Amino acid sequence: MMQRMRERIGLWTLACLLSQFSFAQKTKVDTLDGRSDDVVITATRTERKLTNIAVPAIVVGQKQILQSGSLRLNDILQEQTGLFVTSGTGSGAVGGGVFGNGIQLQGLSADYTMILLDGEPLIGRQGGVMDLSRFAVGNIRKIEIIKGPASSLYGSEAMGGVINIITEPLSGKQTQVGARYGSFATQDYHISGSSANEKNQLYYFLNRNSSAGYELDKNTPEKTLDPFYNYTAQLKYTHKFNRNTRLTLNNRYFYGKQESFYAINSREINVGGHGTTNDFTINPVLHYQFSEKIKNRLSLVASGFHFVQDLDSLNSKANYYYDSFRQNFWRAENQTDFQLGNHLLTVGGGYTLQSVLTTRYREQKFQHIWHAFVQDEWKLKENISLIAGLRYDNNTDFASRLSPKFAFHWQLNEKWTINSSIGAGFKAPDFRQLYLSFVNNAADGYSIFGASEFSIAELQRQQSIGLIAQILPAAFAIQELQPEISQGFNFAIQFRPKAGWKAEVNVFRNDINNLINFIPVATNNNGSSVFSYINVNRAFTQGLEGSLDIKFSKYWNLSAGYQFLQTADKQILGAVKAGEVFGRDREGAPARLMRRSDYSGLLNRSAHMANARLFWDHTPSGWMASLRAIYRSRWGVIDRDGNGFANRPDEFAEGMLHVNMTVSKRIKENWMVQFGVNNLLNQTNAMFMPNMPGTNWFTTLTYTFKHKNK
Amino acid sequence: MKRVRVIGAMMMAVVIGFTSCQKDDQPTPAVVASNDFLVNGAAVGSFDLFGFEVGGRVPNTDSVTNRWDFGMRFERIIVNSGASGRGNAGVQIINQPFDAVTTAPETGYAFDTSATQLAVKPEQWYLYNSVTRSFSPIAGRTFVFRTANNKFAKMEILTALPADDNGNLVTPPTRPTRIKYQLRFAFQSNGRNF
Repeated sequence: MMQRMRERIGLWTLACLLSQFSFAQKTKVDTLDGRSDDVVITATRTERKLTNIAVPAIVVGQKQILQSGSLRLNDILQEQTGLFVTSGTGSGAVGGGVFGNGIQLQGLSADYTMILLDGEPLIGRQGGVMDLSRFAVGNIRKIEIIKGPASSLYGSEAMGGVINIITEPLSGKQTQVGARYGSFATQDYHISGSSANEKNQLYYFLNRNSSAGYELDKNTPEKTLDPFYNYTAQLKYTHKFNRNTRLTLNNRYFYGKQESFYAINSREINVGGHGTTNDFTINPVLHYQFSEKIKNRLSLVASGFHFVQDLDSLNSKANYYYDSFRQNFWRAENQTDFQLGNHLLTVGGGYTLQSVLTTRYREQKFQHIWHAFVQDEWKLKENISLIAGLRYDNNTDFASRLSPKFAFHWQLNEKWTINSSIGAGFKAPDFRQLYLSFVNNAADGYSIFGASEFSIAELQRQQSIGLIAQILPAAFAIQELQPEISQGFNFAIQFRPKAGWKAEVNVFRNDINNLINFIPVATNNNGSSVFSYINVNRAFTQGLEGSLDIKFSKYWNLSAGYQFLQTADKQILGAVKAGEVFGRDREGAPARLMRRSDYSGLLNRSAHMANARLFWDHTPSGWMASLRAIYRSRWGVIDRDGNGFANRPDEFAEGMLHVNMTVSKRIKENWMVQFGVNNLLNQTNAMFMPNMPGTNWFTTLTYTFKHKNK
Repeated sequence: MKRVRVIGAMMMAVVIGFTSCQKDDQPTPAVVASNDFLVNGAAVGSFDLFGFEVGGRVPNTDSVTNRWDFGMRFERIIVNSGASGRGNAGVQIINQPFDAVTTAPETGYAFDTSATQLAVKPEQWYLYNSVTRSFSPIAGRTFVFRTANNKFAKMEILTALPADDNGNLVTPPTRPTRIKYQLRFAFQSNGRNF
């Protein structure tokens, strides 16, 4: 049974092909070793076969990453069904983009997707977005993507889903060096290696990535992507004390620097400087097995993220802009799994301390969070499981949160499976929503205060000395911020007619409440506004996703995916239905009543997204090839007629079709050459997809040296 | 957002059309016109003045007359009465498209009670987008004025675009010194019907 399933699952379990050029054949061990592509740990925090989990999941294996020629995390994620990489604004490559390359899941924006590295949260969100281009994929064993809310296990941010980057190395002793050169003088070098004996396992990865940047719009003096370089280093060491005890020390360090040039009130570049990112993670994990049935995991995390943008006027050399953002994160967490008959009980808890210090806050801010979670996975019958989970998060600076989840997995027979889940997600108010203390002296002097920095008493004091002219009624509505919350529902049917073939349809609905927005709370004496944050908006996302994997011959794999998505701001939709909303069909045209069919939902969402990927791996000759197409229909980008949504052609970005291809050849046992072209159709949009360059090519050479096993 | 451009070439054309409403009970047809109105784009300094009877800009030297009905500075609007002027102007905003407003209400006109307590509240007529840092006039909001001389006018703000001193549109990061408004209005010199 297990053997059969293994054959069926995924595209990339052609283990022998993989091992031929990079891994020792003998490393393919038991299925539940956490390394195999058909095992998922993120869904339940315990190792589960992909066929046995109750929530929608995608596992992207190393083989797919490699065959697609991906370098950074955003490269590979944008090719997955239902995932959309949102655009940065040109300085994203070192994490400093105004928005960065974030990921949208089930229509929830990038702020609501949790990103984990080996099961531990990554920090360094800028404007709510974790920039994915900070993460090299050369050291990634696989990526697990869990869709739908998962706060019952992971707490804040796991509203749209969880992406877990797993860097677990394969055992064995080997060294690999690789080099790539491509368009825009893109250069990428890496060296990685692993070494292991009975007790110890060591893995390292070093990477340098750089680009001269590119220009999509020749009418602007600035480059679309400014030149950058960055370094990633990872060192992972595992020591087995005995059969029951294992300690892993996982360290990661990233340094990136990117040029940043602007033409301010000028047709020529007149302001310039750099953005610099430093981030590190130190993560010791102790696994201890009390018995076959009781397993314990203790994890400590210390991580830091520091971004500085420093711009000078090129003429006067005077400082034009300086922004520093420093975040630190410490967490201790323990998890214990008890196997009690046909129940698997998972109990855990932890404590987190976070600090943040930026030029836009008054002082260094600290947050203390403690959490506890419990989950029971009850195997009712061999083919039916029920999962119930609950997590409690308590924070010093905002309201606490209880997040439940229920999931159901029913394998009707060898071919058909039904999965359904309902769960809660939440996102804690982020630092700027709590602590921002910002007065814009450059514009009309407006100011924004985070909810923790805001007080009526302070407004009244300022009013008494004449700084504030009027306190608006809305000011009295400002109170302790609640987390943004969601309820998600998923129902999926899977069909596996034969080995290597899989079809799946999933319907989903996410209801999001308490979305945080900022509102004017007072008027300054110069007429400008004072803003603060409040929980106001409600929204939903719903849709259907389908995926198809077909292994139609020994050497060919086809996979395709489609997502239909509907979203709405409930307040705006309600007003549209009530006939209270107007719009213009073009700039300056008379206003007309908006109908339900004019309402396009939340900005930056495509109703249709599709992909098709064809992979060929001809083992006898050593040739491999891939052809991948990614489509998204038009999406709203801006509201020009004040009704809060896109309803006319110039408020949308046009749909896009991206076609990418690679050809690779393995030479002998050690060498691999790859040539690839991305964006063959040269579809670009400088304004709304600045992170997508025009047609570009690359070529990669990799050498793997396998040390002899004694 | 260093690369956001305002696509609005068609806005450059000054469209002035005169049409007349032929209604039986309407002795004098309202004059309907469109006009570009370039105003001070700073949060401080003088307001630019507009008069419906004139059908356009009124010089600031006439600020103590009844020739102007409202004034604009950036996204602030003042009316010629109360704390802002010597006229008898008043304004109200109706949540209906321009064409659907056929009669000016008899009452309900607000005026400026102080320099900061203005008759027109920002949230009544525009939406500020914190991402694009632009403000868009809300479609379907019609200003109805009682003019400084107790006549009636209705107006909609079609566009509000960042511009330089010459009225040429500018894109970020260039800071606009002017805001270029495109207005559509109807002036009725006799009665309250448009």
